[in-house]
Amino acid sequence: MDKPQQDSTDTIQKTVQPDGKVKNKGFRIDLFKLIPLTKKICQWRSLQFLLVFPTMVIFLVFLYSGLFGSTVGNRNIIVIFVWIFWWFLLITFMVPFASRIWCLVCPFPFFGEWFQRLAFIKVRVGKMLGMRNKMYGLNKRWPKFLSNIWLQNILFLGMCTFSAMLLTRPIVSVIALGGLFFIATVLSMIYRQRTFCMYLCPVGGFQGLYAMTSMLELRATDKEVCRKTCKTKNCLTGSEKGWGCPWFQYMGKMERNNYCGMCMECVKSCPNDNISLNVRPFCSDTLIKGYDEAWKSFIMLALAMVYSVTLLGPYGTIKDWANVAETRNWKGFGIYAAIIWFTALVAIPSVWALGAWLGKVLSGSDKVSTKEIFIRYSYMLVPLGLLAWIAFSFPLIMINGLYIVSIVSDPLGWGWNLVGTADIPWAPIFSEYTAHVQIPLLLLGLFYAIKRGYDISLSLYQDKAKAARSLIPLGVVCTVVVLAFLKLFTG
Amino acid sequence: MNFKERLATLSVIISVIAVPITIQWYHGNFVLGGFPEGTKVITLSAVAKGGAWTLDSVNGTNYWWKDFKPATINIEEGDKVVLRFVSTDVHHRFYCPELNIGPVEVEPGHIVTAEFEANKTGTYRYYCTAMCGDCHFYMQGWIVVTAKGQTPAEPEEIAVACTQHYEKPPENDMVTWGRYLYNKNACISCHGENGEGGVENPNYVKDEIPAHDTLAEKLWLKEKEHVDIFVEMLKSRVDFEDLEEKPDIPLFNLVTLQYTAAKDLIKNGKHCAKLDATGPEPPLQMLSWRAVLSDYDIDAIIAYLLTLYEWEDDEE
Repeated sequence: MDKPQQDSTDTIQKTVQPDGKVKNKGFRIDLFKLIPLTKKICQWRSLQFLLVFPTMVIFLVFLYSGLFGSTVGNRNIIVIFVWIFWWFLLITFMVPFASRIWCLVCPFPFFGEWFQRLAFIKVRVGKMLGMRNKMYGLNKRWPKFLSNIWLQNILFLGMCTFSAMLLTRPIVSVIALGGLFFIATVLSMIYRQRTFCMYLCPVGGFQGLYAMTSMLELRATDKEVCRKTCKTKNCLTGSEKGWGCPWFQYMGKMERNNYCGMCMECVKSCPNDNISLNVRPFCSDTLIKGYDEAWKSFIMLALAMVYSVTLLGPYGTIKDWANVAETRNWKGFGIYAAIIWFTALVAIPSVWALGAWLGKVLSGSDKVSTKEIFIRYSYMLVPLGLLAWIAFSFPLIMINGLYIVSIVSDPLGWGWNLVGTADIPWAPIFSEYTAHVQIPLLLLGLFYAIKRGYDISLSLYQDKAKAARSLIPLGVVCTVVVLAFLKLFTG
Repeated sequence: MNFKERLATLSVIISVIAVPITIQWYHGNFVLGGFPEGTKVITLSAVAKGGAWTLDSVNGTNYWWKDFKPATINIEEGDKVVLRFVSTDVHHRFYCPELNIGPVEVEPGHIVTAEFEANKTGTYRYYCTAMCGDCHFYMQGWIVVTAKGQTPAEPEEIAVACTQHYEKPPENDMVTWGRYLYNKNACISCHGENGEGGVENPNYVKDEIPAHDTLAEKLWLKEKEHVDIFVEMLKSRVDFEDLEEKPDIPLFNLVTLQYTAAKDLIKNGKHCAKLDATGPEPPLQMLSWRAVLSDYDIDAIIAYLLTLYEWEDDEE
């Protein structure tokens, strides 16, 4: 595989194509240089604690509310704030504009990380496991055969299969979120660093994939400094100023957002002042590295489709199938689950494989294998899937927005009225403009899918015509998918 | 441990403890404690599953497995009472006509209140009068108002519980199928076991729900053999308006007329008229069953009720 090489400068990054031409990968604006205060804030040791601590307290309120608050989903903060409000913020703003910034404030690893560090703020200096930090716990290595995102794929698919229950029954959310919190804590005691976040967290999987599109990145300012000048590799090994990267990332080689949890430890530990927080163009990372990541893009697209049909579509029977907690129709639920899993794991990948094979045939070149086309072009589904999810999430917030306002006053559904908004009657907000929002989003997704697909094809083929021909079948698949979404959303 | 670390650790420990305590403290002092002094505040949670207005706290930890029992609310004469209603699932409607409370619409997750002063001692039945699920008809209980210092009276047990399981028979066994539907669909809760009626319906013109074990008589079927013939005709699903040969049942036209009226009543429901026109609406109403029961199901119930008639023994 011809992988693009990158040449870093302060404000711009360039990709060297296989034909030797240098392709501009777009602008980079280093926020640390533009606004020096941001760097100071990111270097502040208390930063993560001060961000994650309030999230942790809120999470405890959510759990308490899920356990002892109203049993009605839309009257309980754990349902409305997690699955409606947080989801909307995450998919619409955090991931596209701030990468995996959520991982910085996520409460799941809060106690687990403390068990590893026995500290919330300070850094422990020591020598173990090739690091310059002292860590507690068993610090075992995660099995190599599981060092991918397949488990995340399966867990996310499993969790989403029960989404109707998560949305309607607060206790199911407690079981799911509390379970993840518990697993994250226990795994942190057994395995080193953020193993849970890397390989198990269902949210982490899709965040990582879609963070490739993000307009924010944390990168080495000059990778040559990391590779040649830096002897200590403190970003990975830690120092007295910062912990070694909990995500096992070495800044000298980190090219993608996928596995950067934005914890800012590297900003603190880098002895060469060589870390930048860059603003960059949308969809700057384009390299899908394996089947696990490719399948994640299929799963996310399948779920966006199924959710749109189930939650936004006019199909009562499918809604009843999904909502097994109310209907007790286990047979229908079995069909619904089978449709989700088959679509995500078999149907879409099969269509994609066929498209990849056709692309290879049409290109008239044997230089690039079907497998490579299959994996590399699956990136097209990243912007497409993300924008489809955003298009799905907008009506969700338009329909349920007033529940959020109401829940602020009565988080547990116990008859409180904290800020006087508890009794605001429910009504959809600007729902008549839903399609006006969704159509441009979907078309933007298709635009980026085709555009980035073409960029990828150019990196695979010397010949522009071959590159373009190889893209045609999967470009058609993406177009059909968008047309299907448009049909569904606009009637 | 430096100061910042200590402060952080302390903050975490305090928050873990403070979150539940603060929530309970706020609820106790500012929500439940927000009513005028001397008011007795009672929270009633409506649970469609099992059909109960319960005094238990219903939440995620118990909703799924617990069989909530209908509450008996004991209060003393002269008490100023605030009833806080919360629905834990679907739309319910609280109604206690004899104490003039409600009907109070109780939407899922919303808390509504009703205030009253217990001025007369006695035992008063309350109901849910919004069709809330399979157990709706069992969703009843008692408010017992006792004179100060007296021991509250033990009210009678209300019918059978919704949780009772009925074995599903084959549909083609019409009479057994009818009995199953009668029990399963909670006809039993108003019309009584074996159609004996007698359930009180306050301010209903007939005072009590009429018995149905005399349906044979109401249908002008005067002999057991006539009932048998008629039930056989129901089983064979004949069209009574298109019979070539009339059966050996006296006044057969009248019988079919009464049968059609009974069937229409089950299909379309009936409003229970008030005894006192200025008084409260009778809480128990005959609902329309056309969306739940098929023609065959209704015939099966009628066939079952016809067989309940106790015929006098000819030999005696």
